[in-house]
Amino acid sequence: MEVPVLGSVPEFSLTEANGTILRRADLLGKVWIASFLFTRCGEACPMMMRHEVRLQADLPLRDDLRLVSFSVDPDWDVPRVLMDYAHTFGADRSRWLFLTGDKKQIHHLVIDGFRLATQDADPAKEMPILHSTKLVLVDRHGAIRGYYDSSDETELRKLVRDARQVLAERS
Amino acid sequence: MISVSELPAVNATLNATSAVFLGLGYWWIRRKRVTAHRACMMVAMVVSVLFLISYLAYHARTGSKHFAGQGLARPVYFAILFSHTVLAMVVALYMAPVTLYRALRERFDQHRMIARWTLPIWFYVSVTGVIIYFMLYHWYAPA
Repeated sequence: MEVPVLGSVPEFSLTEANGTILRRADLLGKVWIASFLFTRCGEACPMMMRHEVRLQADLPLRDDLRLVSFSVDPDWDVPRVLMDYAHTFGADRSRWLFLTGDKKQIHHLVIDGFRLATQDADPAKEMPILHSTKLVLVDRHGAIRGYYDSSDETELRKLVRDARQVLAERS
Repeated sequence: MISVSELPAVNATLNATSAVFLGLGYWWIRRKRVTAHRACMMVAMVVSVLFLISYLAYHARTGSKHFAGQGLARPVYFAILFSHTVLAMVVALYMAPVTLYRALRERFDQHRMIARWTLPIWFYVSVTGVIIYFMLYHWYAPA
């Protein structure tokens, strides 16, 4: 069964936890799985990270497959902070990238590009930063191929299957 | 304690040990076993540093040793010695430190780019180091 094409990831230029710049073009040719988090997150992100670390173990070890996590609280989540966070959860740093950078750019990327919700915290209403815990599969051309609930085992298994299928695509 | 005359053998052993761990480290990363790879490469690095200290200390005391071989053995020996020395400096002063630094800073794409050269050259340096030892102190030792 074909994995559909659902959209396209727009241009971005962000900073990885190791301090280097990563652009959309740097991921072309690779299949990657996007997720959205922030390190001050109380419950949803640690839970998602635990699921994603297990996913990391289920994914094939390939140089053309990556996990890419975007911080939706980039003012706090500077590279050093993201790197510590990655180590805390046991992310394989040779395959899993953590990005931060300009907040407007990230919001545009998440809302207009990935079409997911993110919203700044509102201190007046005591609301935490809202963000999606969905994982997004992106192919070698920067096209969005699927959305998967990170807390749903069935969808995570489908993600692994779809990722393998997209990896095998020739074109 | 080790006497000065035993140091060349000790140095050769350290060199050989470093080559073994380099090979093991390479073997592990080919099998994508990152933790084992990292452990072996760190051991290779530590053993190489120990070797370097011991080697430099020894030669500060005794100077360079005269090669007693004759005929064809001479150009062969000096070719190996020369290539070993030049490449050893390149590895010790630049390639190994940069390779390690990039790994520590988690710049794994860049780490891989240089490591694919550092490994074979370092391996060559270690192996030729052992060969030089045997040529100088055993195979062509003065009668």
